[in-house]
Amino acid sequence: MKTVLLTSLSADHDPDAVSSIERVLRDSADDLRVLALADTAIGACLACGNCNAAGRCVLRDEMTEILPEIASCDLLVLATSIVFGVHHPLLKLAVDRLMPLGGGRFAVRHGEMHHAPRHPKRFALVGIGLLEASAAPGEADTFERLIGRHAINLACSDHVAVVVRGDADAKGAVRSGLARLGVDR
Amino acid sequence: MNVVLFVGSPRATSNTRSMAAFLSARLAERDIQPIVLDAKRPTLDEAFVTRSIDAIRDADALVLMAPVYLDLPPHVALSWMHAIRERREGLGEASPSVYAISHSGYFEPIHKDVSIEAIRHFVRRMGWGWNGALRFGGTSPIDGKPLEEAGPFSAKVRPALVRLADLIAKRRPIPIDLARAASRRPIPLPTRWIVWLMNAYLRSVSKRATQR
Repeated sequence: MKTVLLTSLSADHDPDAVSSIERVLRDSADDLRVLALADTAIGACLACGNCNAAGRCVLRDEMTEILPEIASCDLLVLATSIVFGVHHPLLKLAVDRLMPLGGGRFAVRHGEMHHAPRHPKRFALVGIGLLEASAAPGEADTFERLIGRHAINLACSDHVAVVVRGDADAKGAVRSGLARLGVDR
Repeated sequence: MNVVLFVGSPRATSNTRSMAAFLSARLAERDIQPIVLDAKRPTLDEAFVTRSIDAIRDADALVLMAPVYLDLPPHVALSWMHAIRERREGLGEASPSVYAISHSGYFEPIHKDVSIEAIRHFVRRMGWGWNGALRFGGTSPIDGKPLEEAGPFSAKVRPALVRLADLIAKRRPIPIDLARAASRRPIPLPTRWIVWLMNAYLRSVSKRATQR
């Protein structure tokens, strides 16, 4: 199984949680590509629209290189600390750059207007969010809704949101999330 | 009354900026000269954050305006929220009432819901007051033009912003009828038809380009 992990988690977060998340993914993937955004500078989306028109991002960096891998993967994993119920801005930097996955035409999915996917392969989406101790009520629910919305927007085959609270067992939570998708080993 | 408008779009021709200009003009008609914090770029710089902190410190109302890129405000807007929270000590006793505006080319309001939720969580974390949100769909054809020149695609936006200016001046929250009116699609056609029309238009544009 080909897996791509986009992560804004770093050693500044709970190092045990971060390493166990990656270990679980390594165990379940034949081929794991990781883009660690805390260590890799990527450019921010310019909103120039070239991706819609020409299917290509005008920026040239590691995100541009990993996009074809995402387009052909089985599993895309987004790992982040949850801030205001959603991605850390560092992960959002990469998520904004996923727009070339959508084509220049439109389609109806779930009764809503969306960009038609540019690539034939459908991947499953896993969102892993570490919930801050100071998180407000409802932030975990928002994160789950966000991953559900991403799954519709990116035309994913399936999705699961894993929220890791405080010092909960990150490894177990991610494993059970993958099991829900039927991709755990 | 001190009003701050945050424009959280990285685009050069930004519909968010068009909305901010229209709202600023309506506020000026009510003797309110808002401070416009326009991100303008895809990433934040320190000077912009400092200017934002200075402006918000004295603000009675803050209007947070951003487009939706993949279900959320763009990176620059999320970063700004993050930076403001990180530097909240610098805000002193600031406690603006917050209005949010979220918009995208997609017609359905559901595309904006998570974006609004994120802004609401930010406001809650800051301990500020929440005065509601407006969701606008089908805004792409505005294409950065002044709203007065944007025809039917700004037809729902303009009256909603006029009412919003009134509400800000009176320090009142957005009523449910306005939130609903704003989120109605600008073209009253079923989604399937809109998608068919958009694709037909895009095909004709690409055919003309090929013939040239």
